[in-house]
Amino acid sequence: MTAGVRRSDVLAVLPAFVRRSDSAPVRDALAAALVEILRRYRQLSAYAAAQCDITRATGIYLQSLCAEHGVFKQDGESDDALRVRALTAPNLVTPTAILAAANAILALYTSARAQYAESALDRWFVQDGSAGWHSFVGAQPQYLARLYPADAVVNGGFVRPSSEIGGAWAFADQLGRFFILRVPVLTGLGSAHAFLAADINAPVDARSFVADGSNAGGSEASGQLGMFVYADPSTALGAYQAIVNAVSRIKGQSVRWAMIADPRLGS
Amino acid sequence: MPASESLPTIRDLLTASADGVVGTRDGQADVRRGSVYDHFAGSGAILFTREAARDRDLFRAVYLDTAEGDDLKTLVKLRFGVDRILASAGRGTALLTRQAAVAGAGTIWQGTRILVFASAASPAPRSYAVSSDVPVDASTTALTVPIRAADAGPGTAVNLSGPAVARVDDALWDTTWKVVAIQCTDGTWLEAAADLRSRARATQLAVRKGYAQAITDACVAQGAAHIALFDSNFTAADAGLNHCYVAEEGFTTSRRLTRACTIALESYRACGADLQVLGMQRASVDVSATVTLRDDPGRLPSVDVALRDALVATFEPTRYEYDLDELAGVLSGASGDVQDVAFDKPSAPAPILVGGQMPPVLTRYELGVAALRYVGPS
Repeated sequence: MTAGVRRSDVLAVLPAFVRRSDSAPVRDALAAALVEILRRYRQLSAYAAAQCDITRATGIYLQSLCAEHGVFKQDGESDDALRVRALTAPNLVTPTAILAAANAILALYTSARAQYAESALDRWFVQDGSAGWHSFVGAQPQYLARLYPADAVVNGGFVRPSSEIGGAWAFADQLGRFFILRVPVLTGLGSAHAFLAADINAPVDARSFVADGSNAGGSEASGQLGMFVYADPSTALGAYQAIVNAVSRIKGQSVRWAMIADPRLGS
Repeated sequence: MPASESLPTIRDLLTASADGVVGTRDGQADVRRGSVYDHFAGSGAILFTREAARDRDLFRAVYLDTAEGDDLKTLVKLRFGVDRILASAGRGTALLTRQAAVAGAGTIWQGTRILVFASAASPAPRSYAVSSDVPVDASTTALTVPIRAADAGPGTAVNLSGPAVARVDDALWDTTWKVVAIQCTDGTWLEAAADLRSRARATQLAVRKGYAQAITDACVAQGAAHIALFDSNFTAADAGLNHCYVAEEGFTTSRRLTRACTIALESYRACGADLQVLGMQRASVDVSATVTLRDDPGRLPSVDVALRDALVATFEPTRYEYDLDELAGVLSGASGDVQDVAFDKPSAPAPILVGGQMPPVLTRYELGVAALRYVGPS
């Protein structure tokens, strides 16, 4: 019974003698009421079923279903975009996923991006001079198979993004399962900033309020008068910790890693 | 909303209605069967039992394990990106000829049946049908018509030619048309709900990042036809370096393929688990062996065909290594008359590892020339 409810559906299940009369105002009123009740009931039950289905749910119901998948709605994200994320294989453990997690945090503070390297293949290889290759002492290693961005021309444009090695890396062991994440040095995050209001459309409203401290308990304290100084609550250490937390949640278990704030990546 | 409780019956709802009237409106109300109250309570109960069943079906359609029919088909498509295999008839073509065009023009109508005669391969005759109208002009004496199997499902694949393989089984305006060749693919059955659910779940597992299936699929997407994955502990000294060998059709690897796979795998492999992408090559292995039989070869039935077939079979799957003892075992296993095998070629086994390390290029071995010499026991 999926079609809409009609008056005839209700009349059909009434006793025959009730149906017999063509004119029965009370019967018809009750039937009409039942039709409306059933229509509303169907509307609500269909809505309830749809809100239990991640492919059709909306709003808070969709958010709840997505949360069960470990996917949480972001500011400004549409229902459809959220749904797609929840139904897509989670982006975990891969270099791409780890760089994305780190860069999402870095983007709040700098345009510089994280770079990564791995211990087994990106290490500094040293030999005694008898081999046909050299150890790139004092030079950036040119391991062509690693498809570093610096070797893009030699490799015909094939590049592993964000894999710039930045120099020779020596590791204490040959166990592998270890990656390095280099991030830019974050500076000035804790600095205080004074803001001067600017209003292109109404220049008369653009002003800076400077107080002399004579009314610290009154208009100055209430914000009606004064220079507004904003100190970003973030610190470099806090930002680095956020990256560590994000990467630790999605990296593969047993894989070791280290994060290095590298001045060569800018700030 | 899967519930362990059964759906309410008409009697349940009538009782609830009567209790409601008596309890909240009129303690003396007549709610017996046939009463005025019962007229509308009865119709309401009938209608609401239907609503309860509808609710059950609505919510069953939400869950993979309970959805059926079109609901299941839609669910697996939207949530898993999996298309259900529908029932389909095999499709193909038939070549029809006639000696002369005396009967002139006409039409081979859609639905015209073609009967493939019974044969050793198929003991029962099989029926096919022309799948669309084919107009025939007055001078045509040979034409190919599209066909479909008369019934949906597998078992309809056919590829025959000759004067006595099939006939047109319905009357045409020209009765001299003969079927001289026919080919048709297999059809499919409607995928069972349980199979579809299982496939949807397997698909979901296969796309998980960091797993072998996802890594293999990523290489296939870049054009690889052959992929071999080796964990870092394949070598005696585990240095944490995993290997992925890729090759195009024919077991050759272009530089483009290794580079493209290397880049693509950055989105599928585990960061920190170094993965080196390398290529493959193909090598032919000539086999020359002296086979010692349990008796004089002249007094035993020939084992040559069995041994050669066994050799071919052992190289038939993708083989990246071989061992002489293993090959000797293959030959011995092919016939109980074999007592011993001594190889002239190959003279040494070919393991995967080279000097204890993974090779820069993985070799796929194929059987070349096989020369077997048979001797009796000394």
